[in-house]
Amino acid sequence: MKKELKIGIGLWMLAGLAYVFLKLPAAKNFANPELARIVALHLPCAYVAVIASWMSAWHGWRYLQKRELLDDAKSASGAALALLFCVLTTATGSIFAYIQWGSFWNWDPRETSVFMLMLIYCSYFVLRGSIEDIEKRAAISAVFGIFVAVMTPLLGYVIPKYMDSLHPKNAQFGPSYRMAIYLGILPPLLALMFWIQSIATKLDRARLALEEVDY
Amino acid sequence: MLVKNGTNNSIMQGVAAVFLKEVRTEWRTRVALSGVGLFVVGALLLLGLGLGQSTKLPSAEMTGALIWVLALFTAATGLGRAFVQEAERGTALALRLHARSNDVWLGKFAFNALLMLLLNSLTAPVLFSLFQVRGVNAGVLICVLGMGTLAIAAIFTTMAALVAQTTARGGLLAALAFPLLAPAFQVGLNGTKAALGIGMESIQKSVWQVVGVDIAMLTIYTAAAITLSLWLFDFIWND
Repeated sequence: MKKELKIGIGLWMLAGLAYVFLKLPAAKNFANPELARIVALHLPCAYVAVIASWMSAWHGWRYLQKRELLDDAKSASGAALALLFCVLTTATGSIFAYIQWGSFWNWDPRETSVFMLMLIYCSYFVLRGSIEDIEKRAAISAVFGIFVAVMTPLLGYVIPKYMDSLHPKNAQFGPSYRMAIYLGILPPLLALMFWIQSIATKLDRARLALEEVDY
Repeated sequence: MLVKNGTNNSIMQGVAAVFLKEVRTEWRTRVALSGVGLFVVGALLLLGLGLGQSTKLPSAEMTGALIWVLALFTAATGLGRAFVQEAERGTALALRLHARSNDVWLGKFAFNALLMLLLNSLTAPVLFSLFQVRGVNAGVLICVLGMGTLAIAAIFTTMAALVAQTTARGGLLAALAFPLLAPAFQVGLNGTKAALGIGMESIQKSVWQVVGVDIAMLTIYTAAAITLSLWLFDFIWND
């Protein structure tokens, strides 16, 4: 990755964070308007988690088509990123839940669905760990990854939407929130995710090359 | 007996052949039926001992939840067998040669669904009578529980195929399937509550109007799980 691009991502992230912490007006409709600003960090994490899970599935699908182990490695690091951002989403979400509803956990359908996705990606890595044959492991985890990624919108969006949810609706936030979320935080966070992914890919490429030397 | 690969037999014939093969091998030993059946009876006994003897019996809502929890645990105990068995007996290769992969999945799914329907139709009435729950809308409950059972069977069939390839086998099945099934569980609970008449007093709509959404959601979920499984099963099975 180019140096300018890295600096650009850093500056954009800095600007986004500065906007959220310094300029973003307090969210009026909430129990603690000052602290409800965490939503501007929570929502992008959820989006990035879902995108990472789709990326993982896409590389899994590529593996099944071309049978190149690097695709499997990319799929695995994508799943790790999905897991990471699920954890971040859950953590920021429960902080918000605590200030809004007075409890870190409310069994809200969408709260549970992110937690479920987190569990699913934990089991993804257990599944990987339990298969010794490299190619079989790649194929099986690719299938599981695709299965999960296609089910995710259903798990995380359709079903929780129709059930009674405590989750704030988009309309409860003003346009400045939409700007902070979709323009301020989401793009650099997404870029950061792809950046981490590219570093992981470099490492995996080196690891795979080393393994080949061993033979 | 099985349909040969590449011949022009219809899907129904292939599926039926695999299904009948499952029934026949099961009938030879009856391990699954008696094993899982005894698990269910044992679980009911423990539930009765633990909860049925206190002065305050579990509420109707709790009984509804217990039915679903028991259904999931039964699936985790019983349905992993489907593909592990083929791997252990060394019959997977023969099946792979003689049947199309989708026929194998659908046949195993049909068998698993039948087994689960049979067991769940046993646990629900027993739990209701054990905890003295009255006023169950049987028609609604059968629809919700039936659809939920199909969802459970679909997810568990695919996950069992994945798990059969690992060294962990049985231990992993529940870990893979439970979080995937959690939304179906939530929706199923919603529908079961309505079937038990919980929260219905204040609503003007009929039970079916309330449950309709739940059943629709379960159907979408099950259809998605089946479609995905049929699409991806080939990669698990023929790899």
